Amino acid sequence: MAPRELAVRDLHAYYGAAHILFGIDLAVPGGSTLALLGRNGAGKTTLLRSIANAGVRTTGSVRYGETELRSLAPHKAARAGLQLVPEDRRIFTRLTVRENLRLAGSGASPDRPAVGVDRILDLFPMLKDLLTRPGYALSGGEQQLLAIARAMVANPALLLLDEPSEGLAPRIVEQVGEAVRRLQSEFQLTAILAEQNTGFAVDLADEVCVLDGGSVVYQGRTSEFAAAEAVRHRYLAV
Amino acid sequence: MIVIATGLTDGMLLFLVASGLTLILGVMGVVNFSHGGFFMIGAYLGYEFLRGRAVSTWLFLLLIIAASAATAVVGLAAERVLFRRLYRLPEVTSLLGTYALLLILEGVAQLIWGQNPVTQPEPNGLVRVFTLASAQIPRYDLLVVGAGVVTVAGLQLLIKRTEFGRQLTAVAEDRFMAGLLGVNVNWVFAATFALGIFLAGLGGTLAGPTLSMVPDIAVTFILQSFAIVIVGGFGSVLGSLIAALALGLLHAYLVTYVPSLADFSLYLLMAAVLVVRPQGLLGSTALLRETR
Ligand SMILES: Nc1ncnc2c1ncn2[C@@H]1O[C@H](COP(=O)(O)OP(=O)(O)OP(=O)(O)O)[C@@H](O)[C@H]1O
Ligand SMILES: [Mg+2]
Repeated sequence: MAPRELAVRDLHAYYGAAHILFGIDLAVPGGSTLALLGRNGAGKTTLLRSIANAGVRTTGSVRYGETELRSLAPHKAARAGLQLVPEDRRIFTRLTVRENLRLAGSGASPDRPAVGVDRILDLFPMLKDLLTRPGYALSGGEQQLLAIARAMVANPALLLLDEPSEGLAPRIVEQVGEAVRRLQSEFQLTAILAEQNTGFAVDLADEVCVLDGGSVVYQGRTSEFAAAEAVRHRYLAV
Repeated sequence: MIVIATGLTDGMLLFLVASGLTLILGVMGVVNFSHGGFFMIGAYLGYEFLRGRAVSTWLFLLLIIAASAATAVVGLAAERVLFRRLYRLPEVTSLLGTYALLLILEGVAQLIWGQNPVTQPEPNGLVRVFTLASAQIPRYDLLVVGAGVVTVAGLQLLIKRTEFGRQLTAVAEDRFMAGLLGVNVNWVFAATFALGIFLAGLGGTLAGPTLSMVPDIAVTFILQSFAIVIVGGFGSVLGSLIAALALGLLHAYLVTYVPSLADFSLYLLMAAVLVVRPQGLLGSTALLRETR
């Protein structure tokens, strides 16, 4: 089924009593990729977790197509087509690479059946030699690639990537970028890419959104963002 | 020989109870004090299903499996009502909650079966002994050890080779991520709980013919089982097996040769293992951190 639009309306988010996001309005057209930028602590992770209804208390609305995601338990959100790749990757250390991949099959939805592990391995060739390796014996880059590959097994229509380039050597960042580009061309999906690495994210995105202090301070097409020098200086680490 | 047979039999019974305990602790992070209560319920249900009669071995097996399944059903009800609320709470709360359930189960057993001991005879075919290396070994011991071996093999297959096993391992390590990937965490919890209580029930029904049943057996067994879980390493089924067999053998040996020390076998084993490996035989410290 074709990817739908993600529409976030007046979203507020809280950790306990701490108010973190202040009325976020955001639309990501079906099939496009949004680069979500902002400094440390701007609220990128909180926004992605709020969309996935994962450990954050929220008010407002998060609609993916017709589905209100805020009312869904995480495993139901997965079955509605959502996958979040968290910034700490969270590979299961006591499962092998293959088992990590197969586990995500339970997150496939009826209208988008799971992708075979073999097909995913064609997109992430470096995982092929690691299939029987336990999760605890992977490098940071291997973990990141596995985390993305694992999410893709569920064939998500809405993919949220939280800082996939964080802590990786430039050469590995390139590989991650390549993998994301292949996903965009081979799977139909709506994606949000939260990043501090502005160049990396903008290269992969159609639109850009900048968060600061829990609010949206800029939103525009990637082409316009190139000219928005002032925004980049004011809100992003240069 | 007889020492070994007795040791393995006691050890296997202990293992059956401890394996469920360690699964529930490893996957849900709940210290289930009521586990001994389910062991006791299993023993009484076995008695009810068999009606205290001696039957053929096959019928015996069939009925104790049915009684264990019935125990698991009681467990599932407790999971819905009580345990589901405990998974997110700190250990102290779950300790109190499951201890309360232990007392409730004991109370219920007293109401139904009273304080007077009841006994369940062994199945017809297994009352006699057989002779091995000039030792007289009860045939029933064979049945218990066999059931233990089948259980170990079954659990290993289930955990290492099936979809449910993958989900269980994933939920044990990181329930948050497992949920994000689409695993129905509540379902895995319920299924693991049912499995753990089934094993407690199986331990209870198999122990039935070796005990005089009173509601108090709920408490006697739970302490030893906890020691096994600690010695074996939290969450490790194989660790529990090794620890349980070691304790069974040590106890049987001391009873025969150094009776004055027999009552201390539990403490001897714990002290010896924990000095060398504080995380238990096959425990991983990572698991302790993850389950908090
Ligand atoms: N569990 C929590 N409890 C309370 N406050 C939190 C919690 N997690 C994050 N915060 C606060 O919420 C704000 C937003 O954090 P968030 O992790 O969303 O930022 P981020 O943009 O993802 O930052 P980074 O680029 O460093 O990952 C920060 O001020 C942070 O201190
Ligand atoms: Mg973040």
